[in-house]
Amino acid sequence: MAKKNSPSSKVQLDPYVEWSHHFGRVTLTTFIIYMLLVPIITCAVYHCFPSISTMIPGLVTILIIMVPTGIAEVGGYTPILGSSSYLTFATGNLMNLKMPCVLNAQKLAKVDQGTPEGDAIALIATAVSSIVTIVIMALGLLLIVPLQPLMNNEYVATAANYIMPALFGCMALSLFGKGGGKTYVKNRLLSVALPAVLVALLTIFGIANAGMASWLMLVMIPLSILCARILWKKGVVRVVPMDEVKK
Amino acid sequence: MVKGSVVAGSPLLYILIAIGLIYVVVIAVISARRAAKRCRELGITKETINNVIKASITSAIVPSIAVLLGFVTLSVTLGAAWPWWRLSVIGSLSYEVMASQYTADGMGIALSSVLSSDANVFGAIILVMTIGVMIEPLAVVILAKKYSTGLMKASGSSDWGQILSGVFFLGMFAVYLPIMMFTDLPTTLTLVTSLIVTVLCGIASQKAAWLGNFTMAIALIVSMSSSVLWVSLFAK
Repeated sequence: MAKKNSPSSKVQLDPYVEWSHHFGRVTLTTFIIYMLLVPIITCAVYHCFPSISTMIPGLVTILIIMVPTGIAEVGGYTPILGSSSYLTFATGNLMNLKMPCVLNAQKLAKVDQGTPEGDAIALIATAVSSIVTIVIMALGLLLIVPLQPLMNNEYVATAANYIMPALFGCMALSLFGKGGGKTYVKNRLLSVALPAVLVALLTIFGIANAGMASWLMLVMIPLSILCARILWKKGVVRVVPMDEVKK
Repeated sequence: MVKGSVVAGSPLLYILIAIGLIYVVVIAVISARRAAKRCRELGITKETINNVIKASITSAIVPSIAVLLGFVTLSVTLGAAWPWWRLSVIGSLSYEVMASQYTADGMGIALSSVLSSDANVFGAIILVMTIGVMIEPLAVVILAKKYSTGLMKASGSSDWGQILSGVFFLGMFAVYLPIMMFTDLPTTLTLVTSLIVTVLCGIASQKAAWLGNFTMAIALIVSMSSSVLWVSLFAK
């Protein structure tokens, strides 16, 4: 079990945090360049560069969707992922794989997000889950022909469509945990009561759906911060020692 | 005319992709080793670290199989190599389908005929997919250090900082949970099944500690299997 360090006990950027961000930045930048080189080299070798004008309609549509989504995802998830953000955003599958694995690992190790312990555990979980995906996909590539009947099975397809609620069911317990630190944020769920009710109403009235989640986060996270600030000022949401919670 | 299928199945593309994937695996191994060392410095026991690794492996298997399903789907229209690359690392099925569809539409080609069309169409699709997805990693390179370390400092230095650093996590749930609870009954029931299985595993793991490493994998398998029942009973 982890030592129960207070989040407040280590606040300076230590050499590890410096290293992890430096390593992350360098490796992700290299990866972005390589990622761009793969289609460029392929198109150059096979003389199949498209004209810019043929790419513009698709590219503009994608950028219109991806720019706000990207802002929301980087803004919303980076504080949770910490220095594992670099590897997470390089390897993708954010909400359907990395985030649940990180939260599960932090819960198992009894460490909090935003602490040095939580940051290191998140990086282990991200690295291990990234390797698992790469290995499974490589096996899938090798076994694509024998796997096709199974993958095209109606029941397997249905089950795969419901992976997000299945993952959120696992993660929902984290909402009620008190973390592994020496302090605890009392009444913290009240901070998001208003945003949750608003999203619920939008969903019930058929306005919101899963495809809009990233857009909604652009609005709901700032609203949650505002609610938390007001409730903290009023003394409703407050940090209390864990000993007091246990009493 | 070179057909899209020739480029999509070319050895060159497979080699470039394999190099990229090996690079990511090397980064992941170095990161995990360094983070494990840091955990030990912070007083986290080797046993806890091993449990985190085991749990991360088992937790990642089921979602990765779901990703594999997307790979099979996408390989029909784009060949095996490109979806293998995109879904192993940066992409997601929904994004890849969307990007390829919009690009093919823009060129007046049906997505189903990309492989049999001129290779320029395949070239346009892989370039658009790549450029379109670069926003997030670029933003992470530029912003992540200042953003996450700033919050880490705030979290440790004041009460408000600690509250603020937790709000992002809660805000994510405030968006996703209501959507899943109120979209349709099979989604709600799958979520509730998963929650119940997680609670039951938590109770059982008090007597059999090893079960804690498999809680997420068990909850995923049971709840995703249950979704087949919920769909057959309640889907409109």
